[in-house]
Amino acid sequence: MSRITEWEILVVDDEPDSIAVVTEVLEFYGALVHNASNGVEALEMLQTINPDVILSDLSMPQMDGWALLSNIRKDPRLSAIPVIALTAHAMPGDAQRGLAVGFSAYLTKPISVMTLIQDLISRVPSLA
Amino acid sequence: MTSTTLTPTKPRLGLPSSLRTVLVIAFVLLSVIPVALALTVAILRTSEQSRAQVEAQMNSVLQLKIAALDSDLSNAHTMLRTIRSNPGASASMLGLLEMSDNPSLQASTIEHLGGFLNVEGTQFTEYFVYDVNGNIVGSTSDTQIGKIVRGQPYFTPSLSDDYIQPPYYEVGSNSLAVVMSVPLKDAQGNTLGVLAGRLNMDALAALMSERVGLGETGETYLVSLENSYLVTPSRFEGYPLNRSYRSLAIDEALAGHGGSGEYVNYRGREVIGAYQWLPDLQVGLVAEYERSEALAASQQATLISTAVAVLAAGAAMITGLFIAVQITKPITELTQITQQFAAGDLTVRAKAGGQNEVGALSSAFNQMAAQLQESLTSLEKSVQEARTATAMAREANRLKSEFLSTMSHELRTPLNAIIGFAEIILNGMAGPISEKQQHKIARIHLNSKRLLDLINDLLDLAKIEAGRVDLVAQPFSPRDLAMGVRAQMESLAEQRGLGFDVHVDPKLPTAMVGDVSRIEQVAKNLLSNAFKFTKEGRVEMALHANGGNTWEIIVVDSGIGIPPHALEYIFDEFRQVDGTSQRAYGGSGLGLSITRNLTRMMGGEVRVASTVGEGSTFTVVLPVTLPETAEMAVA
Repeated sequence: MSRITEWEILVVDDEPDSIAVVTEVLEFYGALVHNASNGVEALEMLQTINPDVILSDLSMPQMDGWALLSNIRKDPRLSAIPVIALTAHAMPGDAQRGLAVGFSAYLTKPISVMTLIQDLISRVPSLA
Repeated sequence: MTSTTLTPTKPRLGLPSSLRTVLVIAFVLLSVIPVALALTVAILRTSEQSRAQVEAQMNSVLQLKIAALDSDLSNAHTMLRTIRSNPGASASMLGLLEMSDNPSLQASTIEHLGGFLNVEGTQFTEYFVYDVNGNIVGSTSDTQIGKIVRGQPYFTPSLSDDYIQPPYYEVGSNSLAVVMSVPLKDAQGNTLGVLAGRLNMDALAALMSERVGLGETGETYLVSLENSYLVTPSRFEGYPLNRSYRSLAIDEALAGHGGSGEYVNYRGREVIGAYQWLPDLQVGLVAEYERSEALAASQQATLISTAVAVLAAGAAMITGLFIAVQITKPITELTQITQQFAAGDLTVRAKAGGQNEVGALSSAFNQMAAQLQESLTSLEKSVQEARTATAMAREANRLKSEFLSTMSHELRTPLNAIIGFAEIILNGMAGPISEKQQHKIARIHLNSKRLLDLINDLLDLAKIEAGRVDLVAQPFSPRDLAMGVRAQMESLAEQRGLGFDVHVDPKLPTAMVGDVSRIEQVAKNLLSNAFKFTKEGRVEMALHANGGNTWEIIVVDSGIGIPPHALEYIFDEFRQVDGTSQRAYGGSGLGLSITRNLTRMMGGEVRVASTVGEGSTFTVVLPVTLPETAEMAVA
């Protein structure tokens, strides 16, 4: 799975611009990107797709990132999928809390376009 | 109400501790000492007077006894002479002497003579008549007739003249006797015989036993020159004749002297007495009185006086106690009030104590208590206000921190888009753009990054000020720290065309304990600051061992420097040297403030020295903490 062109990624965020930036970068490198604007939508999409990794915002309407993670981890079919938090909550301690509940990685906004791919590879061993 | 912790001082032990005791002692001394002095003088005088009085009394008694004795002897003498001069009696007596060898005639003559010789009512117990040979020819006591007195001591002197034989033990009878005699003479003066009378010793004893003015222990007695025996009975020992009686008075009297004084009598008692030698009877007369009785009166006076003195002292003590209580009671009460006050009851007040000094003390105390209460109340109020203020400040801080956190989140979201799209464009991911466009997008990107830095710093400062930063102590290597910082800052130095060097003091421990990420943040902040204000020249960082318990991070630049007036506030938030410089030099303006806060949290301090136009030196002094075990040391 070292080829980015073979990646299938679900990006969940309620901010269209945030989704646009991440999506544009990932698609630039050839990944297949799905978008969802909240947890509920993401879970619906996960009925039909099986992404290699999920990038999720935390603060979202209807179902936030925490609840989404909880639902994914409860679903035996989905529980193995790495879920990475991508959030503007950048207070010291936030990352620890995120990792503690089971996020595979905790990335803060603003993202670094130049290092995004490298950051994903270094944090999610299955992508390497 | 918080209780104050004033400890009441305990009265110290020692002499004399209580004012009350002192006052009572003073009163007693003041009353007893004069009374005791006066008493002593009075007692001494009284006893001397008593003694002198008794001595005079003994002299009087002595003289009275002498007079009575003289009178008795004189009467007795007169009686003998009267009998002798009576013609009838004289004829009878001469007749008896002539017919001394004819006993039958004698009886009638004696019977005849009996009419003249009668001891009834006289000082004599017996009259008797003897001839010049000592044969008793007639007597009022029949048993005596025919006895011979030649051997008696008075015989010879009695033949020539009137004679009185001093007390002696009569030969034959072994009883004490005093014999008085007158010679019977014829017309030519030849002695034919002697009329003698035996003095009534009981009468003599009665005279001496007459004890008017002699009290319980006084006595008068006669002492014989011969063997110092008593002629009249002792008041206490009766009439023992088988011993000699000695005392100063007896010895003096028997030596022919007279006088009076104090001495120890024959019974070993201290007495006051008078004595006189009586040459007629050849005896000493002594009148004496026991000293104890003589002084009994004055001793009684002493007793009464002492009782009075004791009563006076008692009265003085009670008075003293009363006055002492009057004086000390308000003081004691005030003391109790003070202790209550000290124990925390600020509402207690002393009773109004009148116009005297204690009253003044009470009102002064009340004044002080009122002031103290007021002060404490206002102090408590202040403390309460301060607590409230602290709590409010804490809450405000929490809200501020929360607000900044939220703000940070909300700012990051759009910045994510701005920076993200800018980077996408700059990286050519969105297609080719002209150099002019590239340049302007780069400006957008740079400013977005600055905004991000500002948000990060604000967030950090807010966390520090809200007390929500926990330092993580872990072992680190100062050398690794220095190299890491150099690696991160080198590119910035190159961008600005500045010389940059890092030194590590070889004397620094190879491993220390601390929050290395925060120490690194401090170092980077100082370096960023140095680069920011240095246009040309160089920036150096040195890690320096102080040799003591501290080490230093020293950052030296050759920048524009800081004017002295600005040194005070460059560590304050958003305060650079002036408003214009912030715009000119960029940065969040929070770096030094964060540096100072972090340094203080780590138990250190930050100092700055600067000369305008030459550069600045920032020194962060931190405590050295060494790893406790080898395992903690950095590999």
